[in-house]
Amino acid sequence: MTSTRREFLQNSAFALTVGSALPGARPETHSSGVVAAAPFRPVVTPNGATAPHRIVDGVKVFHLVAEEVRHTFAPGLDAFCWGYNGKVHGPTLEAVEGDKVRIYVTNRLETATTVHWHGLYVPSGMDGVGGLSQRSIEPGETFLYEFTLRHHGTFMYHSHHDEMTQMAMGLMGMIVVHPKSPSGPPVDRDFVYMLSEWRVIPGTRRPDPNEMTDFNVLTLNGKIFPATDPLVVRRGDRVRIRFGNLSAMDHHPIHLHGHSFTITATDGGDIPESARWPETTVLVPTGSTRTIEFVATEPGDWAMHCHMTHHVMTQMGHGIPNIIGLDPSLIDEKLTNAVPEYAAMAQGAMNESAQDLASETPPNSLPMVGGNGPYGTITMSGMFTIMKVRETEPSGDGGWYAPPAGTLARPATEAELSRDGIPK
Amino acid sequence: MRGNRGLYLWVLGLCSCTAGLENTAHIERDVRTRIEHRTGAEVGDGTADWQKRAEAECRPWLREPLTEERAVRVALIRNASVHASFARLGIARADLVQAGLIANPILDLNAKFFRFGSEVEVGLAQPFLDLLLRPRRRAQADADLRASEARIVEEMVALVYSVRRAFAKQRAAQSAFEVASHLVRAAQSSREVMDSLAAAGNVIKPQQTEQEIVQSRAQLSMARAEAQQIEAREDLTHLLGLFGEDAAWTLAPASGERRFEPGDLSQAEARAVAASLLLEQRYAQIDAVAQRSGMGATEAIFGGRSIGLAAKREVEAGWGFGPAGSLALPIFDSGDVRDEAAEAALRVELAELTQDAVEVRSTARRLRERWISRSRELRYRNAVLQPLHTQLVRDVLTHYNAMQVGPFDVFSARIRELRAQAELLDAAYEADLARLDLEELFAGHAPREMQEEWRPSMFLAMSGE
Ligand SMILES: [Cu+2]
Repeated sequence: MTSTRREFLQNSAFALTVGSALPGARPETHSSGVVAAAPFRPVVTPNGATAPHRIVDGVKVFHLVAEEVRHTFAPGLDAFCWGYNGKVHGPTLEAVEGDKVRIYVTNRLETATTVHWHGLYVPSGMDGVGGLSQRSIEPGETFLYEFTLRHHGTFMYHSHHDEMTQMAMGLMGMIVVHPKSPSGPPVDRDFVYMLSEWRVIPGTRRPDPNEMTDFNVLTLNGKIFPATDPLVVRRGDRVRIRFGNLSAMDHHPIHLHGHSFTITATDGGDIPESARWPETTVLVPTGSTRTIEFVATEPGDWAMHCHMTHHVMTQMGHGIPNIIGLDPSLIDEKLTNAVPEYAAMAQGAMNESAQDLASETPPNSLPMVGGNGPYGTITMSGMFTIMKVRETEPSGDGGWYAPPAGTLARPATEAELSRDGIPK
Repeated sequence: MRGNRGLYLWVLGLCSCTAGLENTAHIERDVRTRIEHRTGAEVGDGTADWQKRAEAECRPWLREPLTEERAVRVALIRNASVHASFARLGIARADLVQAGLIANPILDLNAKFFRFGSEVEVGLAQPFLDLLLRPRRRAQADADLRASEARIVEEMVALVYSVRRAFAKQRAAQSAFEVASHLVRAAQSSREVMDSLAAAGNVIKPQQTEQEIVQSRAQLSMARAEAQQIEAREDLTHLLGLFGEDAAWTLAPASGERRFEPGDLSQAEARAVAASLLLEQRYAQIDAVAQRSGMGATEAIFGGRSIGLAAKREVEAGWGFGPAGSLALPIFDSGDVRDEAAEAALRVELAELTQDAVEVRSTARRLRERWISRSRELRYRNAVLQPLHTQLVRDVLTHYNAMQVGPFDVFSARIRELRAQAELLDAAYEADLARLDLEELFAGHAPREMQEEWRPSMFLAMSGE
C-alpha cells in the first residue's frame, strides 16, 4: 500500500518536473531537491546536481552525454575536463529500488568511451567494461543501457574504457537508489559526495592523466575549498552523508568535527546494526562508497575534511627544498641580490599594493591554501568543507557561527596564567 | 763669344731641371688629408710643432675614460709606425726629387807639356742616356711616389681599423667580465642558500657539494674572464703606442658613439674596387714599369755614352772648340732583350692587377654577406632569444612564488640566462668585427682574414656544462 502510493507520487512528481525534457535533446541538469513531493528524502549533491529523467511506459529514462567541460575547481583554477551533461562530475542518478531504468549514453568526446554501473546488479552485457561486456561507444554514437535496480544503496558510475585517462579527466558520477521499504529512522538531510583527485600543473588548463602519485587537486564533488558548498543543517537533524571514491590512487579518511557517526552502508549493502560502531573518521577506499549517519547535536561551524594532510592542500609543489628553520628573508635577500628579475618583480608587487613580495604566480593556479574565515585565513583547501549546524532553519549558507560568550578560544590573561601556574 | 753663350745656356738648362725637396711638401699634406678623409681621424700636418701639440692634447684623454674615436686619434699620434710610414714617404719624395736631377757633367782635363810648349784638352761631357731618359725617370719616380702614397694611406687605414677592432675586443672582454661577475654572484647566492639549508639540517651533503662545485666553477670562469680582459687590453695598448703611466687608461662605457651607415650594399663590389688602395698601388706600379718598356734600343746605343763639348789648345794652333760624344754601335746588343723583359714585367703587373681586383670583389661580397648575416643574428638574439631567457627566469620565478619549484631552480635559470648573455656578447662582437671589416674595405683596405679564435664567451669553458 505504502509502496504503491509512493511509486505513484514519485512517478507523477518526476513526470511533472522533467516533462519538457525530450529524448535526444541535451538534458538539463538542475539542482537536486526539486522533487519535494517524492516519497523519499531527495539526496542533495553539494555543488552538483541530480540528473533529470522522464517516465516512458513505467521506465525511468535518463540521458548522459559524455563531453568536454570547462570546469572550475575554485575561482582562479579551471581546466578542460571531461564530464557528463556539461557537469564535472556527472549529475547524480537517483531512483528507487525496483525501478526499471533506461540510460542513454551519447559520446561527444573525441575518443571512445563506455559507462560502468559500479556496485549495481546488472546483466553482464550491461556492465560497461569496454571490450569485455560490450564494444566501446565510438564518438558520435549513443548507446542504450537498460536494467532493473534490484537493490538499494549508494553506487557510482564511471567510464570503463581507458579508465586511467578518462577517470583522471573526470568521467564519473554518483548513483543513489532509495530502498523500496525504508528501515531505520528517516533522515532529515541526505548528502552525497564523489571524492576524486587530479593533477593540474599550475599554469596549465588540462588535468594530466599520466600522473601516478603526485595529485594536487583533491575534490569533493569536483570542487576544492573554499569553493565547496557548506552542509547547512538544523540542530537535531538526522543527517546522512554518502561518500563515493573514484580517486586514481588514494583512499580518503574523511573526518567530521564536533560529532561522531555510524557507518551504515557500503556499496555492498547496508551494514547490520549489530556490526556498526561509532566513528569520527570514515575511510573511503578508492572504488568504494561509504554512508554515514548521525544526529547533528552540536551547534557551530564544523570542519569536514580528508585527514590526509596533503589532500587539504592545493597545487603546492612536492619537489621543493625544505626551508623550515631558515630565516625566510635570507632567500629573499639572495634572490634580490643575484636575480634582477626577482628584484623587479618584488618592486612591481610593492608598487601595486602591500602584498607579499612574491605575489606573482602562474596563471590558472591556486598554489596557496586557504579561504577567508571569521577569524582569519582558513589554511585548508582541497577536500575540505564546513558543516554548519544552526538552531533554526538557516537561510542561505548560514553565515558564520556566533559562539556564545565564553565559548571562543582567546589569548590567556595574565591573571589566568598566574592562577593556573602557567609560565609565560 | 759663341762658346760663352753655349756654356751659359747649359748652366741655365741644368738649373731649370733641379727642384728642391721643399717643393714636394704638399705631397705629405695631401696624404694626410686623404687619411683624414678615409678614416675620419685627424693626422695633423706632421710638423714637429703639431706633433708636440697633439701629444700634449691627447695626454689628458688617457686620464679619462677612453672612447673609440679618441683611441683612434691617440694611435695616430702615438703609434710609432705612423712616423715610420711618413718617414718612408719622405724617402719616396726624395727619390722623386732625385729623379728630376740631371747627372753632373764630367769635366775632362788633359794637359801635355812639351819642351816647346803645352797642349791642353778640356772636355765637358754630359751622360747622354741620363738626358734622354730623364722625363721617363721622373715619370717613373712619380708613379713610385703615388704607390708610396697609396701604401701609406693603406697602412693608416689598416692601423685605424686595428685600433677599432682592438677597442671592440676590449669592450667585449669587459662585458664578458661583467657577465662572469654576475655568474659568480648567482652561483655564490645559490651556494649560500644551500649552506643555510645544510646548517638548518634540511639537505644532504651531495646537494651541498654540488652547489660548491657550481660556485667554484663560476669563480674559475670569472678569473679566466679577468685574464681575458687584461690580455685584450694589451692588444689595444700597444696599438695606441702607449707605455708607462699612459698605459693606465680606462674604457668609456658603450654609448653608440659611432653609427655605421652601410650605404648601398648592392654596390659593395664597385665601392670596394673604387676605394682599394691596393689597386691604386698596382696602377702606379704599372705606370712605373711602363716607363721602362720600349727603351731597349736607346739604352743599347746610349748606355754609358755622353755628349758634350771639347776644347783643345794645341801648341801651334791655339784653342779649338768642338762637340764631343760617343755612341755604341748596336751590332751585338740591339736592346730587344731588354724590351722583352720590360714588357714581360708589365704583363706580370697587369696579371697581378687583375687577380687583385678579383680578390677585392670577392672580399666585398664575402664581407657584405657576413655583415648582413651577423647583424641579423645579433638582432634576432637581442629581440627574441635573450628576452626568452629573461622570460624564462620570470616564469620560473612565478612557479617559485607558487611553491612549485625551489630557489635553486631560480638560480639555475638565472645562470642559464647569463650564459646566453655571454653568447650574445659573442654575437655582438662578431657583428662588430663584420662591420669593421666592411668599413675598412670601403675605406680602401681589405682586412686580413682573422686567424684569432678569440670570443668573449671563452671564459664559460671554465664553468663546465
Ligand atoms: Cu584524502
